[in-house]
Amino acid sequence: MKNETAQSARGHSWWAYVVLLPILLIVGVPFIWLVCAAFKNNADFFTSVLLPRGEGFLGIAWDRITLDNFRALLAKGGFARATLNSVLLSSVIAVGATLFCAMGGYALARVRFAGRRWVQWLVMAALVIPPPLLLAPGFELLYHLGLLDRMLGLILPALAPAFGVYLFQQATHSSVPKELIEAARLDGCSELSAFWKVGLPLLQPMASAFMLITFLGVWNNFLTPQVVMQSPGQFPLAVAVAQLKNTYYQDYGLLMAGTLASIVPVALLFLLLQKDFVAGLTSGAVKG
Amino acid sequence: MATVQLSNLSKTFADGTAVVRGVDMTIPDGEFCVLLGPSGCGKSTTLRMIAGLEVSSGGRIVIGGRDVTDAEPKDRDVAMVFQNYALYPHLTVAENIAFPLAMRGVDKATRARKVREIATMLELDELLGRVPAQLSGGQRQRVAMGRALVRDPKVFLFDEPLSNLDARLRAQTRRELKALHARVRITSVYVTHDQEEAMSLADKVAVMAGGVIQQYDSPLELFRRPTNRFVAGFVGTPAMNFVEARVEAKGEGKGQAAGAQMVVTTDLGRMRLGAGSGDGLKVGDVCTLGIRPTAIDVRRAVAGIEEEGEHAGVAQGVIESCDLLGEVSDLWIRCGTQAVLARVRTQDWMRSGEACLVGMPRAEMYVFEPGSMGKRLSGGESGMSEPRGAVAAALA
Repeated sequence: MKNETAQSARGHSWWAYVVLLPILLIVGVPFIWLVCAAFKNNADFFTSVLLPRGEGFLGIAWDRITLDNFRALLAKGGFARATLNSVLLSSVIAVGATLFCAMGGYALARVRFAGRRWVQWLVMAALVIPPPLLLAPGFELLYHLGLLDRMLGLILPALAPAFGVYLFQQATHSSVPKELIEAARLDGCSELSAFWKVGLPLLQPMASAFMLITFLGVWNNFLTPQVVMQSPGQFPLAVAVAQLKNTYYQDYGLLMAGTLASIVPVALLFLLLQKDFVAGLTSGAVKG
Repeated sequence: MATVQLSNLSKTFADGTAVVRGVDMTIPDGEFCVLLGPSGCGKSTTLRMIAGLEVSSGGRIVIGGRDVTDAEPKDRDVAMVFQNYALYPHLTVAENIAFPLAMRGVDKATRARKVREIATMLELDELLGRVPAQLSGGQRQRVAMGRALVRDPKVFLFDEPLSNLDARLRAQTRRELKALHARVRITSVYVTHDQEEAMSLADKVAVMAGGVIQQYDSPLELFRRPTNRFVAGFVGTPAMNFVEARVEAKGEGKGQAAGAQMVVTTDLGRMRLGAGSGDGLKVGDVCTLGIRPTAIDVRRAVAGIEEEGEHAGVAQGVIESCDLLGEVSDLWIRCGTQAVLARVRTQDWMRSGEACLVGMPRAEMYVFEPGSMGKRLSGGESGMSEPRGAVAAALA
């Protein structure tokens, strides 16, 4: 019986490899291409698919591998500033949105207040509106509020996404039993302290996952900062990398180095928080 | 410690369903009161209104002389033990117990001392560093008790706290709970649908049905003198037998002569009830007779029962099923169209299909007005009669 189970487990893993390997290739090849391109000069960029061929180890011309692209990147003063902008924007929005979405979702799931059903409908309605549709009216609103070309103009609208509120509402239903909040209220908690002391710790796996998703989303967002920000000093990385493109001449090596430099921090963050991320996505799926 | 007063307390949900209707009761300081009733009778809602977890639609709640009807749960100074214990899963046992103190700003040293005291009292010393997921059901129950006890509340509220435990652990925890209450004497309100639990724990029991308190009395009074047919049927194991009856003859007016009887016809045959039975009934009126299974006399058909004498009536029947419980047996006996349950001392001849005689002792007969909530008109006046049947067996 035990052997059969082990055998079937091995069978499953074999099939998993068959399915996952082509997917890995599809996802991985462009990334490998990007990494290689970042370390080549412009001439090699057009003549070799991956690394330049030569007489060196594995038939690769190692002497032509260059860090010039990264040097050029650092030499451009705007890039460091853009990295800082991205870190700032992504961190503030990730922490703020997680907190506000958790509070909103928790309130919709566990606090009784007048008009709760209407708010729920509003959240659901907001979910079905594609974000690009809101660009023009959002732009006008920010213009009237005097928030164009300011960090706050990017931060404020991103602080309570409907998707996050909905996500935390569902997570509260599955992970924060009603009785626990009632017990907390009897034990001396106000609504807010019941959320802080009992609700939020139980929502922590979801909060970690959501924070990571939001961080990645803001880091990679190109469209909104491109529309809202006008001064180069305010650009986040995604926009700054796009600015490396030239109208008459493309330095692809530089462009790829910029792209790689913008990917590495989030990739590291993801690897670091991977466990929490998966736990958050599957929280509530299994009772017990 | 405090007296709890509920005045005309009611609760109607948004859809118009009235679950609690005009509950009036006073639970004296230090008393253990049980709210007993079937599912949906409003007992848990009443408890939750006392806790402040449910907003009342009308009436007042006074705890220790202070009107707390509109007060927040945290400002009522009540502690509650939930059915599923509601322990904070991310905190250790010690942190769970200390939580109410921390919320009230008690300093760390006092918190640690109180947690140690409670842990010793409830034998939780070894478990203080564990989280709830590492505890058994009984241990979780004790931690929940500890969390309620630690801040010395005015009132303890229990919402079916033993229902998740197995039968053996339930009996043990019930004993512990009783001993604990005897020691701390904190006013307690306990909700259950288990009447044995209610009878064994309570100083007084409030039997609820349809959002209304049917009777609020000591366990023995409830058993001896149920106020109506519902209480009579709900309190006592096994449940009381009922049979519809029509008055055929009755002694004249009030102050009947000694020995005057009420004669009724039932599906079990004609019955002669004792003097003063069925107060207010006239010839031709319909009523319900009740008798507890433990009071019924069952004899083998060949043995015979003296019809005149202590029995109101004797019916012929056939044993439909016999549930052997050991010393005693539960017999379902078919007497014509009526089935009667009797709990009697086990005898060899008792088996399905066996003909028997069913005797109904006159002193044990109850008379109720007709209907499921029919008022008790007579019965139980003389207190507990001589033990017979299962009671005698238990005493033997």
